[in-house]
Amino acid sequence: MLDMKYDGADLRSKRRPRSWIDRVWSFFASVKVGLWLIGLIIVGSAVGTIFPQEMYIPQQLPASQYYTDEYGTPGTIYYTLGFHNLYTSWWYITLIVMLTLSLIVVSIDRFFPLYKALKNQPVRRTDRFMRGQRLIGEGKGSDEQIDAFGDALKAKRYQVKRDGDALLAEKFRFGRWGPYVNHIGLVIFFIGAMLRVFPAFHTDTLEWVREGDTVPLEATDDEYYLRNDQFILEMYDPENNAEDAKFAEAIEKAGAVPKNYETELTLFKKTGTNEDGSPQLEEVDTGSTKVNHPFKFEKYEVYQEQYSSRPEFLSMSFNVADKETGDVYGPFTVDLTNPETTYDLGDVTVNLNDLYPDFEVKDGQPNTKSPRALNPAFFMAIDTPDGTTESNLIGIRLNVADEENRYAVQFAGTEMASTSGLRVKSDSTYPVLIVGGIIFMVGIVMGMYWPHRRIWIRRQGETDVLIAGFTNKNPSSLNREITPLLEKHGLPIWEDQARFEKKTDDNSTNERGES
Amino acid sequence: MTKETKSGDRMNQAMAHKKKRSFWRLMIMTMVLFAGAVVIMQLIEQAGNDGRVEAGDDAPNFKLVSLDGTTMVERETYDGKGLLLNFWGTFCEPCEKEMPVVQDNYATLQNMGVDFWAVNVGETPLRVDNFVNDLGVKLDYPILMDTRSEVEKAYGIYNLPVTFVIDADGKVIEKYEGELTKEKLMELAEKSL
Repeated sequence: MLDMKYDGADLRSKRRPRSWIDRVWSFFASVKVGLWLIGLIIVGSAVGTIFPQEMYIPQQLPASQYYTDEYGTPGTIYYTLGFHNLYTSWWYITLIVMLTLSLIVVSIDRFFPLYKALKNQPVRRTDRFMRGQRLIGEGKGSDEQIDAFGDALKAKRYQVKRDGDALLAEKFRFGRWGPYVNHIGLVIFFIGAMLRVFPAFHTDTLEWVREGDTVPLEATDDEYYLRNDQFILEMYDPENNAEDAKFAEAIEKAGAVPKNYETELTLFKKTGTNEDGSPQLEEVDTGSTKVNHPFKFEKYEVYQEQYSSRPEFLSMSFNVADKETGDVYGPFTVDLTNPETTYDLGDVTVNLNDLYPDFEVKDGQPNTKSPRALNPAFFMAIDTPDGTTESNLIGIRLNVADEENRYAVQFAGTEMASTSGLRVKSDSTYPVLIVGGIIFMVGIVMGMYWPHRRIWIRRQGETDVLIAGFTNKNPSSLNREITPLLEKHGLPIWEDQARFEKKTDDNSTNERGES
Repeated sequence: MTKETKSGDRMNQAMAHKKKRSFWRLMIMTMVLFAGAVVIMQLIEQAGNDGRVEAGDDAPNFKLVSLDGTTMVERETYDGKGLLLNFWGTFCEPCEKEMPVVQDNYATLQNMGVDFWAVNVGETPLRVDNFVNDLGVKLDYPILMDTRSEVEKAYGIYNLPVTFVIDADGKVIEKYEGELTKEKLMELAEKSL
């Protein structure tokens, strides 16, 4: 049987390679190489899912430490080989680039010979060619029968050509272009994927913003600033909310269930720089971001992604009470980020001698664990009207003072700030990916649902005819379509040769490849 | 004769055709591989740019005021030979231990043309002032107040203490994480020159 893939035409890469250009070309033109590349990409992608990617690990530790600490030796290997950033690792991209090249070369190598062969195909084929087809029949037949059969094929939407006593009927040739269309789609898709590397097309950063703070957005190259106006965390509340009451049973089981995470935002655009280096900002927009409902501006989207479970203290207010008279002085407010050291309350003056934002006692001395105001404590000295000074160490559930003290410091209020973790994203490659994906699907559908079918008839001697049929897909379907027509017009019935000599073309398949 | 010239023509045509084809093959392969190379270069550049300043990077510029409020320094306008840029916090024990060591050798550093800047990571002047007074050693080198943690963020600080060795051109020569001993301090100062 003839190898009908690419219509028996010579593949360009299979002609004897001469120069190094041809050799490299032949390498990429090999389907075997292409399959290996796909295999390696699949294995690499699979390994990349064993441990989380770098963008999903906690931010407190650098990746170099995190993978070793968390996963031991396998983690170290994983990190060293770049699996923690798989989709942007140099070797993964190298594989994708090679596959892209392979797809282009394979397509050129196969498309042009096939296109030429099909465009210039003769109506009358040689005896050898026809006997090489899978469906072949031979027997009595006349010109009139061939004419009538040709008309019947036309009714079946075949394009029928005659050349003397020979006939060629063909349909759905465009189905042969499916694989190439599909490859074009894939190449566009890969181009889109590779464009994601460039910040102009794709950015993705996490910004931690405390309530009241304004931060520059790295994703916009510090052109835009965001202020966190308020972070909102709502819980399902079956007791006070009728709507939520129907979930009461489930909430009882699960404990507190959050209903809404939301950050109210103000967007600023940087218009210049002040003399002291601080940015001049102009308000552009206000809005809010909820989980799955991003705040959008220009091409950017701001997603509510995380929040800090321990709010920080911004300020604390106190009163000073006179234990003897019951008078209360104050309140006064201590700003925790930039505290005043003296607070004049009339008769008494409070001196803030020290401030521990994250209080602990270390070696018997008051100290701070971190610079974050999570558990502040204050060391205050009160100048009394008598001219004496009384010391107090005030903190949360902490009040160390001399019992003889006449004045006592009391909490009057706090102002706290939560911190939102906002993911700022932009991705201009979606259109490219969508177009690539659609072309890919069109190619698949073309190749899958429109089998290329051809039928040849030629006279053999005075009274006999030879009939051959070809399809690149589903020969039995072609058989079912045509055999009744052959019967009806009294032409010889063809038979499927492959039924009797199975797998004859296996070798040639490997050599020529599939696309 | 006609037959021979015909076959000769065909040969020439085939040769020309082949040359053209080789050219296009080379073009296509070069273009794809070049595009791939550009993408990979971009990746490698980004891998070095994860928000943390490392050896080989340019030291980001900053302007900070010292604890006593008397001096303002800017990285770019610094005109000494070398610079050791240190980050520290009052809550960090090794930071506390290295401070007297740095003070003892500060005069030597200055003679070498190397300055030592100690940036405090976002604490209040009140706390830092108390801490420095309790230290028992008077510090001559500038304690810089990064109250809004901007410089800390720009340098991507994880662990304390950390010391960046910066040369006269503003390039980071080395990033040293850990407590400074006298030997280490001198070694880093030498490197900054």
